[in-house]
Amino acid sequence: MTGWGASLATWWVRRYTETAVPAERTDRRAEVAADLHDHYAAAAAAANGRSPSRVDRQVAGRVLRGAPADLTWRLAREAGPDRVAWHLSHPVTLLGALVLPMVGPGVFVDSARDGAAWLAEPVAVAEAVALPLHAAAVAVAVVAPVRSLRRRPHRPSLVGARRTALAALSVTWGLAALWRFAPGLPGTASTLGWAAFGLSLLGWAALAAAAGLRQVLALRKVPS
Amino acid sequence: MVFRKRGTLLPLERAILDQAVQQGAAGVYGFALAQALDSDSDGDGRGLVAHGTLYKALDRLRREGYLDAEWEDAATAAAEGRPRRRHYTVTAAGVRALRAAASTVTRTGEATA
Repeated sequence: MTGWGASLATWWVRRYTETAVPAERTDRRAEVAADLHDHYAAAAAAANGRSPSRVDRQVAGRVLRGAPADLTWRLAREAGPDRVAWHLSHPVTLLGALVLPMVGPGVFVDSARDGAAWLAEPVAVAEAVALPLHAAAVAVAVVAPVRSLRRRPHRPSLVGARRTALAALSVTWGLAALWRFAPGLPGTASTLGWAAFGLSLLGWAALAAAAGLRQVLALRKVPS
Repeated sequence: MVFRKRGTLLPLERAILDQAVQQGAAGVYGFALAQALDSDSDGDGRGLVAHGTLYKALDRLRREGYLDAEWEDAATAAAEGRPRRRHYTVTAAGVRALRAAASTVTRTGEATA
């Protein structure tokens, strides 16, 4: 198995199965590894002058076209009741996943609240979606045992730190938005929440950039 | 997330079951399926089924009980110098589901003709 296409596919399958149920993680990674090997072997055996970079592009296309299905597969697997206890003891994964659905509706509510009259109804809907998500992020952070947040991750420290920063983004965003949307709470609390969110964002961005740089360097080392 | 009625088969899932029926006891595996279902007629690989789409469909069919999955013997794979493949064979329930889906398609076709 060679080429940057295989590296991309391997990187992606590792990312979306990183915290999956161990048996499912092992099976999916092994299936993709076998698929990649067979793909490159078939391309090498075919006598049609197919260039290695063309095979890499084919593999990359299969990764990109399948990414939505990978994510919906993972979400469906996480929806089972047997996964609730796991998420409460490993809150970083759930908190990280909450960032995207929280930020979209949250920004929309914040920016369109005093907008045109026709926006009132969409704002109400977005608010109904956003506030429970924000409350859920804060609740998970409160309910989940603190020790699990402090547990040393069984993975490279850079990845563990990035995931922890993502979880911090989720909690600080949730806290800041709850304070901001709930009347009667002191403004300084909201300011502190947003400041903590900003710091988390900077930390996460720096760690994500470092992880991305490391990945690019690893891809360049792959023999073609 | 799309919720489907239990027993409903998507076109890709019907095609996978169809391939598994054709292969019988030998079963089918990932990349061979992607090749068999290649939508691109010139066969240069541009129409290969995406990883996520293929393995999500296989996982669903297995959970529904339409396919049995078994990892091949490690020694066989090692002898050929490649990773182990996961072989899928169709079950009796899978054959019934495929027949039911085919009859539904036929009835729909007759109704619209």
